[in-house]
Amino acid sequence: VRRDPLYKAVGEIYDCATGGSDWPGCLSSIGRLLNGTSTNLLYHDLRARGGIQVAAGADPELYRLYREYGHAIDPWALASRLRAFQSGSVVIGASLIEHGRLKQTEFYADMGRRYETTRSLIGVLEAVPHRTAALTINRGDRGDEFDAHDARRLAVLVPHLRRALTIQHRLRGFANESAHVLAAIDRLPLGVVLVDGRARPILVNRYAASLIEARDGLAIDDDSLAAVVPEADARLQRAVGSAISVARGEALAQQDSELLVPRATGRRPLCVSVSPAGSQDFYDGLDARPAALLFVVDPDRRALPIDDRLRELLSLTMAEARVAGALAAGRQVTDISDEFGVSRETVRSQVKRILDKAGAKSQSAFVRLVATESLRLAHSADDE
Amino acid sequence: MRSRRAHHDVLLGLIDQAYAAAEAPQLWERFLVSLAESINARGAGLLQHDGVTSGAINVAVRVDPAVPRLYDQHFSRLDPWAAGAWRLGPGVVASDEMLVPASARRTEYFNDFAVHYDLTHLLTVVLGKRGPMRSVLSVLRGDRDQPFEPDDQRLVAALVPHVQRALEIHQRMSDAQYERAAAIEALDAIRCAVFLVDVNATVVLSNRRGCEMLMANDGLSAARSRLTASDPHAATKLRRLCAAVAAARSNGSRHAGGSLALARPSARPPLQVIVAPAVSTHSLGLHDDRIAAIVFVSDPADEQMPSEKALRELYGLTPAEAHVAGRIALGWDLRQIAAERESALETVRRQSKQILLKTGARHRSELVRRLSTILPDARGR
Repeated sequence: VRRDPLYKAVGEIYDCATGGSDWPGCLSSIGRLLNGTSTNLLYHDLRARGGIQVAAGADPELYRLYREYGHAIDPWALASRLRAFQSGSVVIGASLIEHGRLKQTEFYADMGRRYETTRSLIGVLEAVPHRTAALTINRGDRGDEFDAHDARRLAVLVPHLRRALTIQHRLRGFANESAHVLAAIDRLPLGVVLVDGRARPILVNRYAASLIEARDGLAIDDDSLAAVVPEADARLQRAVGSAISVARGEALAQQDSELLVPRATGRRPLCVSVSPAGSQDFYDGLDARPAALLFVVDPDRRALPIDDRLRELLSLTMAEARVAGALAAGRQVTDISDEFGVSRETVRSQVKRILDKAGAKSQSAFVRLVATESLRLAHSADDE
Repeated sequence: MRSRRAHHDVLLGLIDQAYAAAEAPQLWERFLVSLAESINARGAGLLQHDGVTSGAINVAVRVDPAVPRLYDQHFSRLDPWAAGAWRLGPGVVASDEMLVPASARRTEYFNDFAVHYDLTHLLTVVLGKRGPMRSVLSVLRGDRDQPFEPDDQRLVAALVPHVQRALEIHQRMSDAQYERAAAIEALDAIRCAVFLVDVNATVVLSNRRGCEMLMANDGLSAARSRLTASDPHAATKLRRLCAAVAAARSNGSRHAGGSLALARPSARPPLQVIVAPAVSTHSLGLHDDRIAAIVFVSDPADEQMPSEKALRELYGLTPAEAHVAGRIALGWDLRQIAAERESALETVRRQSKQILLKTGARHRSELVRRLSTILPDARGR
């Protein structure tokens, strides 16, 4: 009993869900188990569209023909229009259309006979009105008709197939969302590092990774985040430790939430802020994993030149954009007037229009606005 | 001996329950209860042990509630079978094979724990390892029961590959959830609103600031989850940008994205919007992916005070100067600062000069530019 290949097939189905094995190989095993000529995962809307998503066993030509027009004359699909299938049920094709009648169909003449697809056993994976996803196993004229024993064996596999497809869908969904969220974090003009209770990084964005890689203030030593300068490292570890104890609920107030991390290169120190993370709210149904979230800012990071985006963003004219760029760089009306050889009055009125368009009350408010994240984000979007 | 058919059905039922638990971990208990019932065991458990002194029970069924607690606190360190199972390697092992029963009965584990709770016979198997920890499946019987028979051992052995795979799937699912949660938590901590949207500008995921911004409904809002702007022209432009980015992404080319400003009914400074193409997840082998674009929205009125502590440490400002500098960085003028601090305008002007001197900025605009790269309070508001 235990050597029954049915058990092995169940395992293979789940290996497909986690990517450890592939669907075509798994379908082949199921096909062999039930003496089929071909095995397919297909969908059908029972109206106009239908296709085979994964196939094993038969000539690729059959799948091309099926996609092209075969689905529209599929005798089992046509016959099944009259029935309401239940998700999870198993249907013997001959119970939908008797073999003698099938032999008179266009499907039989065009592809069924040629590709040994004249008998079928159908496992209904998902059935909603007008839409069906199914696993079908075929045999040709030379094979026997599928019987109740075959149906029982497929009925064992169908719930596993359905569950495995759900698991695959969920795993992909999580991976997708993680990838997109990480990409968003990568665009930020500041370093983001999430570390666990032992200061081991769980997440490092691109900005932080470049600092760490250059051992510019921060580094990863023995798998843990560390400051390069020992004195600063002691403070960093204290800050992380304090954030972790708050995250664990062992302490109420956090100490050393902000610190400066000196850099060997003689640049101004990095500003690092540390806060508790990994609280229960984020891990729906999972245990909390206390963590610390670090934001890292490099005060020497060059303010970016004003580019076309500022013009686009504020609908500036070319001349205004030039003035806006100079303003953003911290220059005054008099400097700008001298530099561009334009009268002070002109520059003043340009500045006024720029501030109006930007909704800024003063020149310094404008500079502040330009320096806000969004414009720098736009720039990092171009870096790729 | 059960009939072949009955045996087959029992095994299939247990296999099904193990995989059901992979998808919904609360079902591990149900699986263990069924397993215990099918081989007349007194109890069953999934535990982890490093084979030396450290171990804990993850799920236990049909045993006294004190058992998992006592095991975790004390007896896991004395468990002679955990060490034995490690040495014996793969395969289902009966307790009687590991130790001569007479010697086992002299241990503290046996006298004070196994006999007391009637858990003297066991079948155990190492399912896998993660770091130093082995995960172990055990089923137990007491002294009053018959010892396990080879038939029971074979049933458990037939289950093992499925339980292993189910645990792996369980682990994969929770790892994926943790990874996603960690990324979202980091995204939530930033002040800029971030929306992951599909081709129609429908929000698939947003960070906390994004939710707040939509709730405030000042310039940007969502209608049936679709991003829209108060200004109809801007709304059209925003949707066109998302659609263009999505279209480029689906035909394999690249659209750089774009930016726009959204006027606000409250007359505050316009929101600044950047639309950027989402990463291609195709390389990850992920095809059923709706997310097409990332929309960043920042609110210039969102006061981002530079950390006064950082200002003091970086430039050697006094506490009062750091306070004034923080407000200058926000674009306040000296009069506003003086009013807020209830000090004379002259005092603030003097402090402002002092700040320029210490930071090496020539005038206030340059100071603002400099300070704007200093860390805002990152912990949200």
